Amino acid sequence: MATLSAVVMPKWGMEMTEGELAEWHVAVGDQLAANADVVDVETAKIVNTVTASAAGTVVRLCASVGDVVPVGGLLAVVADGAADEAEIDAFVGGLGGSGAAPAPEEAPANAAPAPATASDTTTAPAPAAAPAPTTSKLSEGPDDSDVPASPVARRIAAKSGINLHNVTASGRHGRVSLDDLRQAAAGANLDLQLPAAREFDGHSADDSEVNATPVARRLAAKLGVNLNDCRNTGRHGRVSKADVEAAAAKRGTAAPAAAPASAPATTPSSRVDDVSQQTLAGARKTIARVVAKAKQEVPHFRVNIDVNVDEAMALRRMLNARRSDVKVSLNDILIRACASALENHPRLNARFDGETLEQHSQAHIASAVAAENGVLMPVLRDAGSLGLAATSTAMRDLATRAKTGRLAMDEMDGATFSISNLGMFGIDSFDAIINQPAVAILAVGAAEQRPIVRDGELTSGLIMKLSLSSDHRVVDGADAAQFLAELKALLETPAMMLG
Amino acid sequence: MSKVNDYDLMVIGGGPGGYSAAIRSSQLGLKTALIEKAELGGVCLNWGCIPTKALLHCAELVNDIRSASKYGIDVTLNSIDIALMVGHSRNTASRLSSGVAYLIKKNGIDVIEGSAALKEPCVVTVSGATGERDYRSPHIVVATGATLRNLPDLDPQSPRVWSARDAMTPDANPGSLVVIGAGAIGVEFASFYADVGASVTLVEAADRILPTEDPEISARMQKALKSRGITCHTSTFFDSFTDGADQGVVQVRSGDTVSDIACDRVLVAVGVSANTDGLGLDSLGVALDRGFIQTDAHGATNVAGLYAIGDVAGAPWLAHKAVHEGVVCIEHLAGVDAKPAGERLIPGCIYARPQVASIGLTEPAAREAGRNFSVGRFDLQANGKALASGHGDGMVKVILDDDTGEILGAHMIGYGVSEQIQGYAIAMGAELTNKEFEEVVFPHPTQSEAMHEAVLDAEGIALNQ
Ligand SMILES: Cc1cc2nc3c(=O)[nH]c(=O)nc-3n(C[C@H](O)[C@H](O)[C@H](O)COP(=O)(O)OP(=O)(O)OC[C@H]3O[C@@H](n4cnc5c(N)ncnc54)[C@H](O)[C@@H]3O)c2cc1C
Repeated sequence: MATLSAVVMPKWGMEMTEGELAEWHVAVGDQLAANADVVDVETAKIVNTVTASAAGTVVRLCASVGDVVPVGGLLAVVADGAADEAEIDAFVGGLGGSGAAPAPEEAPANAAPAPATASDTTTAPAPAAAPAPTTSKLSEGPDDSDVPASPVARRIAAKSGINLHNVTASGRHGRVSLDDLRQAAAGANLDLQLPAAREFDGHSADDSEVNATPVARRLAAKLGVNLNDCRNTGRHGRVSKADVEAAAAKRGTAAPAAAPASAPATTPSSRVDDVSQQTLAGARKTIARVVAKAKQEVPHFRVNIDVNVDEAMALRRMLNARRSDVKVSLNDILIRACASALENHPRLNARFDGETLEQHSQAHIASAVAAENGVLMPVLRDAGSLGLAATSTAMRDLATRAKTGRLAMDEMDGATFSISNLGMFGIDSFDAIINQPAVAILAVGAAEQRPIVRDGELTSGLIMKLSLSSDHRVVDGADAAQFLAELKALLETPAMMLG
Repeated sequence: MSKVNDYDLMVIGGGPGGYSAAIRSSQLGLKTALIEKAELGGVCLNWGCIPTKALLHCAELVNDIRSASKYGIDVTLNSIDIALMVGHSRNTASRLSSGVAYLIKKNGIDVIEGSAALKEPCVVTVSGATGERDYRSPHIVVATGATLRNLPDLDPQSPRVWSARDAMTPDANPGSLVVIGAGAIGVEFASFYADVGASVTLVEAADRILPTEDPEISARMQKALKSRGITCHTSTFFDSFTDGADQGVVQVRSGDTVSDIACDRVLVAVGVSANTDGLGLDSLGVALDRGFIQTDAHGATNVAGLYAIGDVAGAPWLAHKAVHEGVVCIEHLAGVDAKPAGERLIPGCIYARPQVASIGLTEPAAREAGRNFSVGRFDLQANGKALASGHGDGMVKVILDDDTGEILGAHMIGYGVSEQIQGYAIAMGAELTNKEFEEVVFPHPTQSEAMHEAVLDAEGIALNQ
């Protein structure tokens, strides 16, 4: 039995709730490499291309050009082997019947269900023995190679004996789209020659339709490498010479006789290069809405603590003196300490949408980054898995990419805890508004020399004031207090973080 | 204690690498500053590519006028005023430099005038006219360029000893000039001064001039220069220079033979060294390779938040390489998917008479790499347009991979070839095979048809030779 996977409407940026299909790049039966372009989607802000997360054969298209599909809604089904219609129906049904897949974690809870488009737009596979294209009034006309058309539309028109001059173009840039063909064919009572779903057979598969550079294609033929087995890192997802060489090298190191597994290569993460295209003006608008909502809805309560960071600063100095490849800041140490403390205080490492409380075992920590037109909150995923050096490097990268709008989906969203540090501005202490749906945020002030009493003696130390705002609906005073106490202990004796 | 960053990104050095990096950075939304201690545009605009090309254009005109009578045009060249040529060259440079200033301003980049040194990772000290100031930035890009090396025996104070800058701003025509080093820069100056009437001698330690070019191109160039009266001594080493009242004497050695060359001026163009002095790289432990800053494929050094691009980061010392490295470095750190500059093919051009343009592997390099290849050649003597315009001296040579049809290298010598090499650059960058290249229709009559014929020739099917 084939494994089916869904191609769903992605979420490109905080404000995206739905997208309109602009143009399909694939038809049923097309074989896809992972990351292959599937469909162009337009939102109010951008036109971008949805790509396949896994390799395989397209077995169903679940929406049409012009349909508006909510984030998370089902667009297409891809199979890694032979799949019959019943199987596909069951898969689509399992996703919600109406064509809406469950909204991904990042999708807002209020995403509307997808319109019921699956049943009426599903492309039925052509009968096994397709009749030769019948000539019709659609087939007449001069050479149509200069009629703008999408590659899929052109291929299917040729197979179906349709001259593109006879089709009204409504696709993007005035191109004839697959949908235009359907319309024209329906009007002329003609069956489109849509390719039947083919079995994905890995290494021996026909690779003539794989998008590759000419040199890559020739080299692959020479080395006996199937282009389906290559990554496609070239421009526009083309397989490049280097990809073929890499595939050949990989094969060279594998056991020569044993046939390699035929499972298509999947990329390690399904979250590939989701580019955020939000404009700062839009971000500002979102911030306003989000902050107002959090302040109104969430019963905030605060606990404060003073932390002596002399030890942490000594650690920082020591590390920075010994290693030139990192430049650790006090903020990096703070993030690291929060990640450690959150492990023992899962109640603060959580998300709450008013109904469901999600506690996480990994700490995904958002940090406020000041940008020209507002605050950005990039998320450091699984901060507990990173050492100090890696935390520092990752934070530099996140802060930079937050400003250039190049964060991946899961770097913009999904925080289980947040930190806002205004210490660099000389702020002593402040209260922060919770970054919903996370349940707590730590407000960090400047570390300053202050008088302290140690062993009954008045002395001075570098003191940093921390203030934790928590959502009282799910966090109690004791939870917050215990978390802060542990955080203080970790920062005052940083060696404990090694334990 | 955390401190506020002054900028998201700072670039040290406003040459082609540095200013392009700064513009890309600002385009991508980063608050950017560019630190420059001299002129915006760097060596390239002010003391390299552009001013030399302005002079070489003048030389081209001189030569056209000299050969006009061949075509029935009766003109006499009465005199050459080098000072006015230099004027054209300097004007062009300053016009472009102010163009860069405009671009920088248009892109909202702050220019900080002064000399930069790294104080610690992510902190740079700038000393300028108004004093010294520290700036903080999580990303600092070093684009300080390189300087032509002098030879230890040559006193740079002597008026007879020319730096490239002196050679670009002469007040009079030197009667005789010895150029030590027959790379691109040396050959360009030799070509210019020969055209404006100096007697020129080229001294090269390698066994051929333009030693990084394909040997056939070197040989063609040497022949062309010789026919223009330029003396080329190869496998010859500079020994010493003796200054004199009337003339200086350059002593050179070839094998056991020592000889003296009398001259009015001597110019050294034997390579460059990185501008790293006073940058504070040592105390940060920045890794160097023969004096040049070592980086990864995207320009990152071994120090946190520190990057290096362009001449200071190593060969090839070319402006367009600096630009690509700068853009790639910025795009990578900004999260834009960018193919490393090192994986891009970098063409090289020499603007002498005749010009040389090349990209990819030379024939010996292809052999050394163990490639299975064919060579295609086309002589401009068989190209209609070249002959019609009196530029029949030259050739095109391509190296074709027999297994894949990939164009491995292309080498051109002749009039205007610097404007044509991008045809091969595009084909190679897009990984076209000889087949697609052959299917491209080249307009007739053009000199570029020779590029097409050379590829056909590699398969033995050239139509016109
Ligand atoms: C005579 C000559 C002819 C050439 N012809 C060509 C050609 O035809 N084609 C070609 O591609 N290349 C040519 N080159 C090479 C080309 O000029 C360089 O490759 C190019 O300029 C490198 O650019 P860059 O940005 O790395 O550095 P540069 O252009 O050298 O710029 C570096 C800048 O950094 C500044 N700077 C240095 N240190 C500091 C500091 N501490 N603080 C602040 N500012 C600093 C300098 O003032 C300078 O403006 C030629 C070079 C010469 C000398």
